[in-house]
Amino acid sequence: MAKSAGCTPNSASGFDSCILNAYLSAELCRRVMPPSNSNHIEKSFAKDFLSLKAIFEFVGAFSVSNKLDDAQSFSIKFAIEEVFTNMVKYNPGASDVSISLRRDGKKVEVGFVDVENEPFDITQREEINPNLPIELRRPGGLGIFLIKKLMDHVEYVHDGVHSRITLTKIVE
Amino acid sequence: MFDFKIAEDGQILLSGRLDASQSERAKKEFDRISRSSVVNLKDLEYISSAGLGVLFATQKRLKDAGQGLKLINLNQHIRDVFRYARFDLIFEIE
Repeated sequence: MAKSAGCTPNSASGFDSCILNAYLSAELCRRVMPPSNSNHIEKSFAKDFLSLKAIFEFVGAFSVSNKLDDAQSFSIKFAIEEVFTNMVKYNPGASDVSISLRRDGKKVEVGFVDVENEPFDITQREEINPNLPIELRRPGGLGIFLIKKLMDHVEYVHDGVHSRITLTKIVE
Repeated sequence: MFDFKIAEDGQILLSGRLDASQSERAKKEFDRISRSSVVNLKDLEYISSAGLGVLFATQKRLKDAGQGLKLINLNQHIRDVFRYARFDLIFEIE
């Protein structure tokens, strides 16, 4: 069987490296250049509160093209603002934050990628107790608490260089 | 665009979007409030935790002085957020 240059069969696993290379190339392409249709959009934003206006426009356009209702769009905007402003406040720096939105059937996935040396896992933050009287309540933690109320799933991964946060909203 | 106005009848009128980029401005406006007031949110489209924090801090300061804010005309999305945050325990909401 003809082999392309650079492809070698792996006798130990029986797996053809051509197939592996093709898969890795396709995966790299998918991650670097996501399909430019309305179901998946991605953009980088400067780490500044003033980016919020552009972020809301970005989400607004996605909401319209994916026929999200007002409540769904509100929840997604709210959750994105909370994650983004956490990155602005607690990981300031020159790097932009990449935000992606993907509609996959009955769910919307919101992805964030931020360069961050130290992990800051928002899913592990101590839960606030919203039932406390005003005298005992303290500021802080409300945004993350509300993300968990408004979205259906929150995932955090740190790969040593980047923090990757994925929020999922069921939109059926 | 966020806006804060005080109407002739003393009601505080909020409009637009109260997000993190506008919360400092909102704080400056609310810091001038020193007695019980009605806050009309009829034209407020959106509020984030930064905006909630401004309202919370104002309410806490006013409560310490025996005063308080009453919130009226919240849209359904904002009302839901207030309910999740249990701000219905902290504010009089109509």
